[in-house]
Amino acid sequence: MNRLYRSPKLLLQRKFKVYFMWIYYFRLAFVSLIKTPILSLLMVLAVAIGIAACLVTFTLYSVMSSNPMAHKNEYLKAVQLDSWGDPYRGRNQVPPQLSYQDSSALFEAFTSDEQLAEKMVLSYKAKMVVRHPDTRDDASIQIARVTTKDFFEMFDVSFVYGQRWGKEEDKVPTKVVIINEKINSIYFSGKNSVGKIFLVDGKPYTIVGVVSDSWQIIPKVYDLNNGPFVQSEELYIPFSNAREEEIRTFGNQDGWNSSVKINTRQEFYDLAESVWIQVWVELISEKQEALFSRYLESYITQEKTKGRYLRPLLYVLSSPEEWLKINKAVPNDNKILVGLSVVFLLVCLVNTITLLLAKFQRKSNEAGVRRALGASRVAIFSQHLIEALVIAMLGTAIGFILSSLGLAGVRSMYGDYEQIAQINTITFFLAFTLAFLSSLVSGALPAWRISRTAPALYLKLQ
Amino acid sequence: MLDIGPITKSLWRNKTGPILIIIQLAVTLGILSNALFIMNQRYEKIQQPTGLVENELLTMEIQKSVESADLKYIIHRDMDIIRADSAVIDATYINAIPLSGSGNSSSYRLFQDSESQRMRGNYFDVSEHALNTLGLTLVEGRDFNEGDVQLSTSLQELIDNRDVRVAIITQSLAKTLFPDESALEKTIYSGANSPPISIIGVVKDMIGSWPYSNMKDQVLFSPTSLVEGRIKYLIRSDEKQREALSLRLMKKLKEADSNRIVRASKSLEEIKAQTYGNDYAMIKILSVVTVLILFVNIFGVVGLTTYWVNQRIKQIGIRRALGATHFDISRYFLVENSVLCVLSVVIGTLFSLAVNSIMMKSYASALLPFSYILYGGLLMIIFTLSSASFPAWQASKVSPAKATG
Repeated sequence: MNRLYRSPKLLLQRKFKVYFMWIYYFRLAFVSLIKTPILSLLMVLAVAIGIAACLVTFTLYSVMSSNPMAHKNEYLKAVQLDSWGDPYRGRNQVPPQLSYQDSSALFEAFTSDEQLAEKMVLSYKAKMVVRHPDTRDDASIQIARVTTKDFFEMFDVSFVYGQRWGKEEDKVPTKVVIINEKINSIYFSGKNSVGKIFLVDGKPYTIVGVVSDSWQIIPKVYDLNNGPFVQSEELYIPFSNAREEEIRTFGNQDGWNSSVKINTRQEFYDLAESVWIQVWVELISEKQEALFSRYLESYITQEKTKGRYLRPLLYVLSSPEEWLKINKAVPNDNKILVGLSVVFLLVCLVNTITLLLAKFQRKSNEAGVRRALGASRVAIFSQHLIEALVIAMLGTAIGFILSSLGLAGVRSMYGDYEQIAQINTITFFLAFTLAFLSSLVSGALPAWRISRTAPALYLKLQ
Repeated sequence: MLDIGPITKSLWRNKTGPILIIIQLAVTLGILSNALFIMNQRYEKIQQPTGLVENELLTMEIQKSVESADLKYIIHRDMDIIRADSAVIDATYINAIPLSGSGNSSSYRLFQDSESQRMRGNYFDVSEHALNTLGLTLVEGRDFNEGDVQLSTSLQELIDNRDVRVAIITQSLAKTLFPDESALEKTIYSGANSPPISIIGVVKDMIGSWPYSNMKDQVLFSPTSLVEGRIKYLIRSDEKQREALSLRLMKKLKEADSNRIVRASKSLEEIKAQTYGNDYAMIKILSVVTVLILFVNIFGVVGLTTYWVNQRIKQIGIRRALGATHFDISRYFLVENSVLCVLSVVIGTLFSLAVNSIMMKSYASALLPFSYILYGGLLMIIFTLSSASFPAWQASKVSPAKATG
């Protein structure tokens, strides 16, 4: 074909012609597809199903395996201390949470020496009864997080009204509460409730802030114990109230040493070898990390002299990424399904290759004629690859619709997946990548085969 | 005469298509057999007997909402209200709901010293109505009586009257603690400082709070409860009246008191479905995958066979003209597909085992029994041949006149 355009005058026109050629190939592809409607439909549907399966599982996987704290991954550390009697069973063989006595000792050290860490968060989940002070009948049970002020900055909580409580409230038990938008709309009809009184477990708490409902951390890295994908809590209460108000945990609690005599709830806080508190620190430099590590070593050594910490001195500081891995935030089922969907797509693509081969073989006399009339192998190859591309594109478009149905199905089956099983930017990006890859994988072999068609043979047949 | 020889030869001559379809079918078998296996494992897990009268049980959750509320009084009065209803068979208060995924566990040992070996058990603090409510059968010893039951509302109170403790345990826990003898009248300890617990009864196995745990049926019932703010009720009733009863009781209980919240009652079946939610979901997802992959294979087989038929219209015409019957023609294509199927099953078996070995390594899955490959293969052969039979039948209708076309 190149011979036709040797004149420099026609160079521009040639460029245009090449461009025109591609449009022509697309038209040829459509014509060819319409000629065999059932075969085309089968190919498109197969690609669509394979791509939909991949889109669903990859969307789930991408959200589940994401690290919501990636931007602070170097600085944030989950704290674990080996206070157990036997080797701890499960996870990384170190208790995943801290006891009240240990976590409050750590926090005391932090408040008296702020160089120890940039931020420190103690927190646990509790179940509390809340009520508006003016009415009697609207009491409800809600999930609360009992925590320290740094929680809100460490995990980027965004507020609609008000703000977090201050340092003082972490030191002295103070009845302040932060509620989320949902509670605010139920009990205060969505208006600014900062400064109002709210009854929590029958006691008056002053509202200091309202957390935006748009703030969710997925997976919920700060507490992965009771489902990594459950929504964030409804209210937040200063940790300083925990012991005084005897706020019990609603999360996991695990204990071992029952030779410690415990007669009252207060003694339980002070003495029990029972872990239920999650501790996070932010360490902004290597120097600070070394300082904090030294502090932990000296703390454990000191506790050993009191007859605690029977096992070899061990503490673990994990970044959010490591913490998600240790706690196996991504369920195995999901990984199995990702693998399965990839193999499934493969089956669909092999299916398309077979059908395209069959189809193109039937068209080989047409290709032979075109070759005889001067079409290059590359031209024949591109023309047929474009046909495969058109199939993959149509398949992806249908697959995209199917995947949104699939995700809706997943949402209805798993209670916690409301925020996970949603089409996101990754789904979009993946859809296009898959479309491109599938057309290459499914189209290359059949297109190559047909581009090898010998021109003469078919001319004779005609 | 099945003409297998010539058919294989003709497949070999133009092998790209056949090889691809064999790969497709083999990979399909890999997915099918493993999916069927996983589905059946999950199904068995869900179907394992719980030992409870699952469909007769209702649950409720109570939490005090006023500091001054006297929970001991409230619980006893609520129990009276509930048991007074004619549809109720029995009811008890309990610290956690069986099969719910949340509960309490403790370690138990035979001697008070801390060196004694510990066994973990799932414990429920209940009233003397518990066994009857849950539908458990005593195999040894006696049920709790009113004298055994202690309901404390503070840790102090619990400790003050904890000198004598009794417990009823399941056969599994009994066997773990006392492998060679009867557990009845034996004494166990829950910690080095805890009072002795005397075993007064052994019941048939039931699944406790955690159906996934390896100590799922190691359950201990204690008549000593500590209620600090919240408690649960378990109500046994006739299955048919369950829903109406639930509404009626909620109303009665709410009217009786506003010092505590009664949380919407759920049936144990609902709770069980929630606990097993991931397994139900996996079964549903895999069934969809199975159906879809069979569909895709139907597309492939129909498409390819149709193509082969079209390609050989002339030859079919010649064979017809030389006296081949409709049946002969159809048979050719069916045998051709069978040859492909058999080869696919052979390769697919290897692929199934490969997939299974990956899952065994990464997810501690069990070894895939051969029967699943067999079932999968059978399913695939049936689907492949029935989808090939349509184009094969079309082929048999080719007129002998095409021989000259």
